[in-house]
Amino acid sequence: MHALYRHRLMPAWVAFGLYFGLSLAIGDVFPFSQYRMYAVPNYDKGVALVFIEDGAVVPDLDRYSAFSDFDPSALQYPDGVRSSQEYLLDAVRHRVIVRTTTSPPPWEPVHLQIGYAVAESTAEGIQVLEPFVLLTEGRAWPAS
Amino acid sequence: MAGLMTPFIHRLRGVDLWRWALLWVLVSAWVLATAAVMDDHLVTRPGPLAWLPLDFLLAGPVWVAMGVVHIAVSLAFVFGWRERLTGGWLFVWMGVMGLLEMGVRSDTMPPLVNILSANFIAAWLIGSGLPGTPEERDQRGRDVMCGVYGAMLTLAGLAKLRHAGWDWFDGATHALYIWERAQPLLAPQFMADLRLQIADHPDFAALGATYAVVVECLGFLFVVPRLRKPFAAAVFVMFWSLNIVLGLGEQGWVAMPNAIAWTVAWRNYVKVPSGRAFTGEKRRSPQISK
Repeated sequence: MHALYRHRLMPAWVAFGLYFGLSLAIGDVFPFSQYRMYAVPNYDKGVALVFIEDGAVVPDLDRYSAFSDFDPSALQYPDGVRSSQEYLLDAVRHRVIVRTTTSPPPWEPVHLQIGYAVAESTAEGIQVLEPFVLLTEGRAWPAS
Repeated sequence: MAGLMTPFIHRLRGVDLWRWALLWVLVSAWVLATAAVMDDHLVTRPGPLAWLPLDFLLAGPVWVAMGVVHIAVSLAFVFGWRERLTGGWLFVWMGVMGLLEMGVRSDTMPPLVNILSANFIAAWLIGSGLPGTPEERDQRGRDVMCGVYGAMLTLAGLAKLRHAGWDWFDGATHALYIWERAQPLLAPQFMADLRLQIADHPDFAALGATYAVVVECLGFLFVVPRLRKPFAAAVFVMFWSLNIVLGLGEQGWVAMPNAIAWTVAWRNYVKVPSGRAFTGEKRRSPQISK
């Protein structure tokens, strides 16, 4: 029994130790990653992306095939504003860049604003501090 | 016809549960990567992409062709055909896919599913590649995979404590994370409503965060064979909770440890035929040690 466990435990412990040790030694290099993930200290305000089309909130940018007049460099949270969803803003910036067009579709565009909402957590629950802070705006063409 | 199919059916029954789980992980990794990078271009050039001109892989027809190769090689690996070659290919290809996704998204982190599958494949190849009987090699391969998975989870848990310290147990922080995950961009309405409800209860969020970090820090328990099933169950609860409240659909991280932990039970359940083991040699005995 003990021999069996020693026989099976040893390879597993060696693998555990090697991976653990290599990760600490090599650091943030694929595949030995030790990213902090969601471990952000002093995170006292939350941020959520908001898209407003002609005055009404829309859930995402999937419905648009082309953009114009947006400033992609403005699609960043200001200093001091942090979000666990920052990659979403990266994705939005990327989408706006690759779909910005100089030859727009023949149909009418909509006015689109991209921004964010700010909230904090209190004893009474989540309190929205800023429902919408504008980052950039421009024209967007809904997919046909 | 039934007679012709019998060897094939026996072969299918002989495929271990963890191999089916890995097949699912590998295929889903490619599907996710396809949605993210196909017909796109590199914004940054992380790692070897700085000097390796692999942009051509992103072109639609090339990507689809590589996908066909990926699925064929994944099937070959899962069925134990030329494991060193197919496993080596998959390890490298998962790395390339991860780098391409990082480059297209200008991200600093490869998808977790790529890290997971590449690690499992490498662990299996190393563990089962050392000398021994087919049974010993098979068992060692699984033990090494368990060791690596345990290390990944333990590192994740300790990294959280290192970066956040006691703040990790602050329910308000996690309530904000959950609120951020309740936006329409990330969740259907019913799920968004549920998350908003949970976000209003920081104590509940603190309880969940504590459970998650405790499970991760105890990842080393997955090394111990008799603790693997209960630990895999704890991982199942943790990841499904994360999936519901944060939308983190890392199902490969649930499926693989559970599949490895339950592989022996699966073999008994499906009555795996004796004969050629997946290590390519004749089994000396039809008995499978537990």
